[in-house]
Amino acid sequence: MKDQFEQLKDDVIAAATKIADRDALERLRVEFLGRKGKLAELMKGMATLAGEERKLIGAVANEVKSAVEAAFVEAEKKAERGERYERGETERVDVTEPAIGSRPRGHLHPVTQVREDLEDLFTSMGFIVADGPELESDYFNFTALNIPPTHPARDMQDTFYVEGAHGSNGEVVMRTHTSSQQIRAMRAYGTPLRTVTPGRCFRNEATDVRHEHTFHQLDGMVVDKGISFAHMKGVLGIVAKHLYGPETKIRLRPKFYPFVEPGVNGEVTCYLCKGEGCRLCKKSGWLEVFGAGMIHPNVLREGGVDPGVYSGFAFGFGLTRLVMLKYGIDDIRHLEGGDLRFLNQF
Amino acid sequence: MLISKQWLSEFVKLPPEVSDADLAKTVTLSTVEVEKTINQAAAMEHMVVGLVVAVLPHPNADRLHVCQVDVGGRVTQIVCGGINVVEGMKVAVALPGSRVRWHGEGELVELAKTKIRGEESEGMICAGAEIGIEKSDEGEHEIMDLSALDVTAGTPLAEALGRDDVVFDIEHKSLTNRPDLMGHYGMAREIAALYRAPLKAYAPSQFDPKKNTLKGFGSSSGPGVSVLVDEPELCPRYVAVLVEGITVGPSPAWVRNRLLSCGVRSINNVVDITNFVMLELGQPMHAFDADVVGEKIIVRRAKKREKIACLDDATYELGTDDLVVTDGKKPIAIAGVMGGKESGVTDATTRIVFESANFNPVSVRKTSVRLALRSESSARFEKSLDPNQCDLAMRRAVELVRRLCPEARVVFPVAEVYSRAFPTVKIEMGPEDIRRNLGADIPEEEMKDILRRLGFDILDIRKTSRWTVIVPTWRATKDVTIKEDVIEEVARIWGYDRIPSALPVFSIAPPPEDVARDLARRLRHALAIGHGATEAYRYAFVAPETLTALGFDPAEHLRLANPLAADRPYLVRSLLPNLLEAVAENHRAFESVSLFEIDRVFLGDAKGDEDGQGGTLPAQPYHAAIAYSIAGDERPFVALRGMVEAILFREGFGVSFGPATHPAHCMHSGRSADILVDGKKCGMLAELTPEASMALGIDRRVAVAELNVSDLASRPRATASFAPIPQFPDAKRDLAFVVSDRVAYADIESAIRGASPLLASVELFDVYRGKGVEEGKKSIAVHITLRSTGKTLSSDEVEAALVDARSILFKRLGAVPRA
Repeated sequence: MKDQFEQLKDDVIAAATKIADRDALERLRVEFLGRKGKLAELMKGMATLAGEERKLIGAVANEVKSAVEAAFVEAEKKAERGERYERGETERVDVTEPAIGSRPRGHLHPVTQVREDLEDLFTSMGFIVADGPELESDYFNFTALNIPPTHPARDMQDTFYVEGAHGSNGEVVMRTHTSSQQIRAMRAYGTPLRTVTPGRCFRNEATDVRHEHTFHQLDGMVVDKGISFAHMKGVLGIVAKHLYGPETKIRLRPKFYPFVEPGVNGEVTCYLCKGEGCRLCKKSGWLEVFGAGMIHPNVLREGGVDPGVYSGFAFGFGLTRLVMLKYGIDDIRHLEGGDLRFLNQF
Repeated sequence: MLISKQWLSEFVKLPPEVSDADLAKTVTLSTVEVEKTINQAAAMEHMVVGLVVAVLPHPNADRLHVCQVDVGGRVTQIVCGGINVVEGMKVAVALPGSRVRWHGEGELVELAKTKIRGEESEGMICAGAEIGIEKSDEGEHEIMDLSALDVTAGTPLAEALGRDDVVFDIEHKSLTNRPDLMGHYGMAREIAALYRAPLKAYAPSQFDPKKNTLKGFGSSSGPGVSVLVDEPELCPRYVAVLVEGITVGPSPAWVRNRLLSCGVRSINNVVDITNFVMLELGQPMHAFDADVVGEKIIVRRAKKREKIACLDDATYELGTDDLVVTDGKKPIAIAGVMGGKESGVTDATTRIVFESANFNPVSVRKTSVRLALRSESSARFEKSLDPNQCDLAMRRAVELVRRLCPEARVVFPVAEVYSRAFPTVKIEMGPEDIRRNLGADIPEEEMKDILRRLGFDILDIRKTSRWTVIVPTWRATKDVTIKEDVIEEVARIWGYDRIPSALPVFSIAPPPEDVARDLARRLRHALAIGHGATEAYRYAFVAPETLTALGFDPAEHLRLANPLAADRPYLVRSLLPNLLEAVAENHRAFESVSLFEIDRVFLGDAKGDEDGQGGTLPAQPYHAAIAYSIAGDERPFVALRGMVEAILFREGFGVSFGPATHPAHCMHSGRSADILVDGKKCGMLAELTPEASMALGIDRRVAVAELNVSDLASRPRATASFAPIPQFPDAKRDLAFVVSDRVAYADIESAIRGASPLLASVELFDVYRGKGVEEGKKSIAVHITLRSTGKTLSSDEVEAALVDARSILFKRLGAVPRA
């Protein structure tokens, strides 16, 4: 009888290892290990055995049973592996194949992307993002910024004048800079003040590869007691590092703007050559990206701020210029052009 | 403005180790921007004066010569096509390695030793245009004849031609507040301060009032010239001198070269002297022909409609705001702007009146802007000049006459009206003001040293740490008037790079919100990222053709008073016209065009922000415009409606759509809707009529939408609120029925919703018109969900609700179940 058990074991294990199909394996399992299976049948025969013998054969039967069960577990694992493999083959998709009919990707304008990045930087430092009219009074755009009508500095900015703005008590212009918001911001928010105004500006000049009558700036100002030129350097240094990386330095040189004193022109280390000098920076190692200065006392006064008590600095970035530098855009006219071949690149 | 290094060197002695590049950098970092440094000699590298020793015809070319040329110590062979080349001529030779412009055209080309039609040629004998000399007097196919030059063969050409200067190009706008730098002496003074270098005094010979003469210079006494100034405010100082016995002729080379280096054309010795003095001292001068103007000069306001023909050959009509110089009868110059044609110096002139005056900057500027007449003179006067330099300039001019026209005589006395001397500018301040403003701990002695180097005087106020700063006259006209101006002087010379960086300390109060701006930003992201639309930026200006193509009236738009190009004179009231232009440009190359823009529009008939002077500006709300067109989609309205609904719903607006109340002419009357939020209009959605599309050059269907974002920002928005999760299962059923095509879906939905209190939702899933459905009708199918909060609904209850719904649909809307 022991031989019969051993034989059964060998038969089952041989059969199970040959089967790769899990259904066939299950049938085989029932055939041998089921309630009415061959093993059960053999075990029925044990009832006829005497005590000692029965004990012995019982042990053999248990050993055979567990060996067979183990063989089935192993065979099942193998079968499952085979099936997975087969499904992987038959149901294979080409993972490189694009999804047909999915919605095309939309695009935010590159100026929007750079502007939002800067807005987020400044709001993280507690600045108000202010906004103001693009069609602006001559007063806020010029006169209140220490640029009276006869000032030669008006030549620096060719201006679009607008007809038919009847509600206004003076000339009305397309704002030539976002600095037009400075007086409005001081009057609206008072001191202490941290604000930036990004936006569209207009200058009456012929368009070509480098000139566009419509462009974008980001103006900013900080006013409080004890604000110094050193603070201006500190804040602008943060912006420069944010834009062009932690190694970026700034360089300031004198520049006349009527609404600041002292006034400076700001350059940052050329990000392309790291200051070595290259084509982009015209061999200087520096890129001119902003203007800044300590706010002129006349401007503070116009904003209702006492220059005897408060001081402040103001700055203006050429957003359009930042965008062109960032993406290597060689023709400014693309920016306001609406050509999808351009816009779809961002 | 061009500044000659040789000219500077006459006044300031720089340490020899200072290179041109150092100088340019230092000036840029501390004073004004040097845009370019032009080394004249570099352009003439490898060019020398050659002496032609032999000329033979070229054996293989009729028009060429084979020349033997002495180029200094050796004779070389050069093939030359110049028709005027002869033996014994001194010529400009470009040797191999030099860069020339062939026949004066195209790019610079580097020369190499070569063979021309079989003959060796080592370089080129040049015409002026080939080596960058614009005013060269040889004729066509001729070479430059340098025989008149007293130089030997081999002399570097730059040196022989006096073109060995270094010229700094100063960025013009950076001089706006520094009229004192608009002459070489002023620039030399600044550079001397920057480098602590010695500066030569500017001291042309004095007029000697006792002897009534100028030292070493012929003169005679006579009535001379007299000057009367009617408007002392507009002409604080006027100096005039009569000079007789002038021979007008060309200036010597040293004068011509100086002028040329500064980009000024040589005219004749007299005019050149006035320009020379202006470039040297920054003081504009003028010379009148005394035989034309006489000896009596009156400065007065122009009469109404008074006319003058000027040196630029144009005639200008003046008004009483303009100041003129007259000969007692008629204008002979527009003061400070330009001289008259008639009174100008000609070849026949023998007697001249020199003018060296100071005119009011605002008056000069107004006149110059109004007449659109700019000159080197007006560019200087309008920036406020120091009246102290009038007599310096005059003395310098007379000194130059002595050199250029030794036989001339000055007729004394010198006429002068000096009615308004500028007051001395004194500023009271202290070193603490500077330290506080800059945030830099600069030693007091350093500050004083810097200011003194720049010509400021500092008087310590006794028993205080305060100063009285006295501003030098050349800086006191306008630029330096308050302590902040003085602080800038210290800061720029001390060095902006030496000022430390620090961060200001602020309270943590959060900034106020700007709802419209935030909404605009969220809409941009929703459209671009959620809905595959692409953001475009368009001009604020629109063309009348685009407006009329869409049936908009240009007259309703604000207009630019001075449009740059006449093609876009109007300010947009709607973003659609320019956005549709972009659709027209893109739609042939792109199957799908889905563009949007969020920007301001300009409404002349609505009030916006205050203008700061008691009035208001036109309203400028933000609009959002979307244009959507896909090839083959004959009903783009539907997809765009979905997009608009989704972006507004996401922001919590109770959005719905109703038939357009006033569709624009260009909009499809059957496919036009008002966009409603809480039932109130906030925008429009429509398809363009095929005619309007065609007029814009778009040959397929386009749907557009425009929302007033500023208005939307003020509308209430829903926020999500929690409702308990239903405890009992929903019952879901479909209803399908046929109804007249004219019945609005909104009415169908509200009818179904009213049918039973158990109705939780109605969702449209099919609309069908066409085969199998009667003409003029549509088949509608909806999913409906029924729900009870108290129990599981029985099938009878569900059926009863459906029967009610069908019955209401039939009674109210004539809808019948689909067969």
